Amino acid sequence: MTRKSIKEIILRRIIQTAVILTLATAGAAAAYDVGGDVNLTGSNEAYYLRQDEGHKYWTWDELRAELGIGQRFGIGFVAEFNQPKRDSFGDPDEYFNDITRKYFRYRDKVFNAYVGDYQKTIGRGLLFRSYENEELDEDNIVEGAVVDGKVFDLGEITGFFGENRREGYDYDDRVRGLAADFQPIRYFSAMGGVAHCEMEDASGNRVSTDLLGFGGGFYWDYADFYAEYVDRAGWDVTANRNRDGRGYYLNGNVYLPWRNVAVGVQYKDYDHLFYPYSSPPTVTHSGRSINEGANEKGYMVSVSTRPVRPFKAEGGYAALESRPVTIGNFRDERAITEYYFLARYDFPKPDLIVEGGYTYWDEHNRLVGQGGTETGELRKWPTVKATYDFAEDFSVFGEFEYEIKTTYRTGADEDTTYRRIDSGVSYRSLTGFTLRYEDSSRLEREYWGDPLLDQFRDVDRWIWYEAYLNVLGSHTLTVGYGGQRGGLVCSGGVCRQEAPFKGFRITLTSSF
Amino acid sequence: MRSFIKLAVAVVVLIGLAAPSFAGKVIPDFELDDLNGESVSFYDILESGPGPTVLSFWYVACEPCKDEHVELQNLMDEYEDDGLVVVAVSVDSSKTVSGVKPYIRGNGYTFTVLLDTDGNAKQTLGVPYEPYTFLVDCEGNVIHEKLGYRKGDEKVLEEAIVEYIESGGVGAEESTFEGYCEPVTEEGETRYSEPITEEPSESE
Repeated sequence: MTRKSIKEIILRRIIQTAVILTLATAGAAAAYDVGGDVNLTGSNEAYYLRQDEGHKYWTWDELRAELGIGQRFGIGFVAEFNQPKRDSFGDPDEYFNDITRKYFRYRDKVFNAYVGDYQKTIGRGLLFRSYENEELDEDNIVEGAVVDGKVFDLGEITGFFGENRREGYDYDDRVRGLAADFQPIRYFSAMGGVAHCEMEDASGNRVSTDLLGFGGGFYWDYADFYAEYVDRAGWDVTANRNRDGRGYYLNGNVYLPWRNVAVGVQYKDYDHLFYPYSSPPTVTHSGRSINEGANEKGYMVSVSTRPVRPFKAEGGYAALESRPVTIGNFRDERAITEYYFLARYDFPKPDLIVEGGYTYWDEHNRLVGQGGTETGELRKWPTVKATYDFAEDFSVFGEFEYEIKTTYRTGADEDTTYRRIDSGVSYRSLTGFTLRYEDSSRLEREYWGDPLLDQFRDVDRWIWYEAYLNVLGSHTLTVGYGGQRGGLVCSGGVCRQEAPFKGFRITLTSSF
Repeated sequence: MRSFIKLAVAVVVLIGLAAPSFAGKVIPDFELDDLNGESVSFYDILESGPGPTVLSFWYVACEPCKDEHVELQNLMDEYEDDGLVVVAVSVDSSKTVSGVKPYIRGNGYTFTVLLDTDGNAKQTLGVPYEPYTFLVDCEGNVIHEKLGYRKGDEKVLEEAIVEYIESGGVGAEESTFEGYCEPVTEEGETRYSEPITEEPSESE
C-alpha cells in the first residue's frame, strides 16, 4: 500500500467521522431547538424515471448539504445516489453511489478557508479557475485548499493548492498559486498572481507550466473598465510540447442615463494560453469559441437600451479568428463572425410579453486550403407569453415560440424549425398543470457532386403533460408524462438542461 | 462506503425535511463583490435598516429570472420607503459575468446586485436552481422562499412583505425597529458575535 493511498484513506476516514459527528450534533440540536448555532442548508433533488421504450426505469438522487456551526464553520458535501446509473445518452446499466464533493470551510471577518473540493476563480479566469457546472458540462474541481486573507480594508490575498484527476488520464494534475486583489482607493481595483501546474502529457510524462498574471479596473456609475493579462511559460497542452503563451482580456462599458443605454466592448487576444485550469471569457453572444477559447483573438460590441419601461432592445456584433495551428502536415485556421438583435415588449393590460430576435453567424474552418465553412442564421419569431387571471388566485397562461435555423455547410445545407406551445392553469404559486407541445422539422440537403442532390427530412413531435405542487415554498413535487425534446427546458418557472426523454417522471426538488 | 452514504443521506434528508418544523431557516452571512468591485457583507445590508429584504439568485441567460426582475423592481418602487431592500445575486461565472452590469443598467434596475462567480454563496444557502427567492427579516430569518418564478408569484411575495411591514416594521404606529427585530441583545452583543460599540440612537 503506497503512502499516497494511506494518506487518502486517513483523509476519507477523518472526513467521514467529522460528517457523522456533525450530523449527530445537528440532529440533537434540531431536536432540542438549540436555535441558530447549528444551521443545516442544502438541496435535494430526486428523480424517478420510467422510459416508454423497454420499460427501463431508474432513480437518481443528488443531495447537497452544508452544516454550519455558528457563523464560522461549515461542512459540506454532494452525494449522488443513482440506481441504476443515470446515463443520458445510453442504457443505464450499473449503480453509482458516491460523495462527489466534500469540503470543510472556515469564515470570519479576516479569513476564508475551504479544505476539500473547492471552486475558485482568480480575476476573469485566465490565471486560474476551478469550477463545476453540470448544466454546461464544466467540471475541473480541484481537491486541496484555498485560503483568502483580508489585508486591512484594502483587499485580500489568496493562496491555493490541490489535485485533480482529469478523465482519461492516469495521474493527478497538481496546481498551486498565490494571488492578491486590492482596491486601494474607491473606484479602482488591481489584481496580480502566479500559478504553477504539473500535469501529464499525451505520452504519460509529467510536465509543468507556470503562469504570471495581473489586471485592474475602474468602476464608476457611468462607465467601467477592466483589463487582465497573463503570461504562460512551459508545457502547451494544445501543441503537446513546451511552448510559451500569453493572453489579455479587456472589457469596457458606458452607461448613459438617457434611455438607459448601455454600450459594451470586449476584446481578447489569447495566444496558446490553454492549460486545464484556465477558462477565459469567450467574447461572443452565443458562447461560440474556437479551440476552446485558448488560441484566438477577437472582439464583441453590444448595445442595450430600455427607452421606455415596457420596451427593451439589445444587439451586438462579434468577430473572432484563431491563430493558425499546425497539426502534423495540416494547418488549421478558423474565423467566426456573429451579430444578433433582440427586442421585448411587456404589455401591462392584458398581461402579455412579446419578444423576438435574429442571430446570424458565419464560421469558417480552413484546413490546408480544403474548404470548410459553416454559415447560419437563426430567425426567432416573436415569442408570445400571456397570463390571464380568470378568478381570484386562479390564472391561465399560454406561451408560443417559433424559430427557424438555417445552416450552410460545405457539401450540405440544413433547415431546422422548432415550434413550442405551452398552456396551463395555476392556483396562486401553489399548484398547476401545464401542457406542452413541441415539434421540430429538419431538412438536410447533401450535395454529392454536381448536379446530384439528396434530401433527408426528419420530423419529430413531443407532447408533455406536467402537474406540480409547491409545499412551503421550498419543496416542489412535479409529475410529468410524455416526451421532451431536451436541451434548455424552462418548466415550472425554472430553466435547466434536460436530456431528451419519453416516459413517466416524478421529481421532488427540496431546499432546506 | 455505500452503507455510509445511505446512512448519511437518510439522516440528512430526514433532518432537512423536518428542519422547517424545528427551527426557522436562517440565512448565514456571506460576502460578495457588488457591481463596483466593492466587497459587501449580506449582514451589513440587513443591519442597514429594518427590512424586510428580498434575496434572489439569478443569471443573465435565465428568462424566468428576467421576468421576475420586472416585478422585483415594481415591489422595490412600491415599498422602498417602508424599508424593503432587494438584493439580486448573480451566479454568472467569470465567462458571462461581463454581461451582468450592462443588463442591469440597460434595464434601469436600481436594486443591489452582488456577484457570486464561484457559486459558493449559492452552495452555502442550498439554492438548487435559479431563480430562487428568499424574503428575510433583519436578522436573516427566512419569512418566505420560492423556487422558480411564474407570473403571479410576485403577488404571494407582496403579501408576505406587507404582512411583515404591518406586523411591526416601519409604518406601524406603535412599533420601532428595536421593538420588532432586535439585533442587539441585552448584553450589548449582536447575534453576529461582535459587540455593538456605537452610541444608541435617540429612540432608545
